[in-house]
Amino acid sequence: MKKELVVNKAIRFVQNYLVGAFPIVAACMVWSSWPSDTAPSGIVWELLSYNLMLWFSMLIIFLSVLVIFPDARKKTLTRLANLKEADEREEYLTGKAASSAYLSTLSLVIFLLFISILNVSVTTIPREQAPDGKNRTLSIGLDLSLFDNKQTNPPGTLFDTKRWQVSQAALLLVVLVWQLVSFNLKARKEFDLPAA
Amino acid sequence: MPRVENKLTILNRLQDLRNVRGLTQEQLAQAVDVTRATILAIEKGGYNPSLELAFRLAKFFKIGVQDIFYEKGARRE
Repeated sequence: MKKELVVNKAIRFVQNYLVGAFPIVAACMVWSSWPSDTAPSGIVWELLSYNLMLWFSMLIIFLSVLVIFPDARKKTLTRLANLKEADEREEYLTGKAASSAYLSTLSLVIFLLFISILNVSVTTIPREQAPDGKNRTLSIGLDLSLFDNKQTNPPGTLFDTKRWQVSQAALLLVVLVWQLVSFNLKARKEFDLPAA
Repeated sequence: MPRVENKLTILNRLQDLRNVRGLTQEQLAQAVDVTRATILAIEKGGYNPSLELAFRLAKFFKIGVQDIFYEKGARRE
């Protein structure tokens, strides 16, 4: 009982930190994309950067805990669904909300994947090469590359993770496959009936 | 084999039973270990409880499940 209380308090603390510190993290990310003279300097920037690292680390740990521990997942979902107490109706409501969110996210990811690999270009060709005087060509194609190869390192760089930066399309593809596979496996596990 | 239509409208007389016993929604909710919002949703017909909760309610009122929940159009005793 005491252990459960401590775990609940820890979960609540982490949830509050993740929600409460999000505006600071967002501000930090916005500042970092601005020109360097407008960004805060010195100790403020250091603190914001440490907070950013801590926030992401906590988020990753918290999400892993949610995947592993069903109780923590249930409590978090109850809070996310804006319900104060949990009972069977809450499970029904969060289940309905989850299936609807799943389908809408799936369609959004498929749409984003499609527009990230779709390549539409209009080019002008010299008049002498143009058939019937039509000097513009329209090409439509699909381009799926798993890695961004735009990054060039300065000479002397021995190791840089940006060399293996995955492309937007690859990220979306991973999210899509993950969603489908995890949903399918979980559904199979839940619906598997004991042998008659 | 006869087929049963796949959409049944289930009604209940939970509010009547509660009123007869002079219970508030909160008291009934505590007695069957659910939230007041769930009792309210069942009474208004917005939520069909699980079989387990239906049996808990029946046990609390000391009557059968079919005395609380019934199909729309079916004769009530």
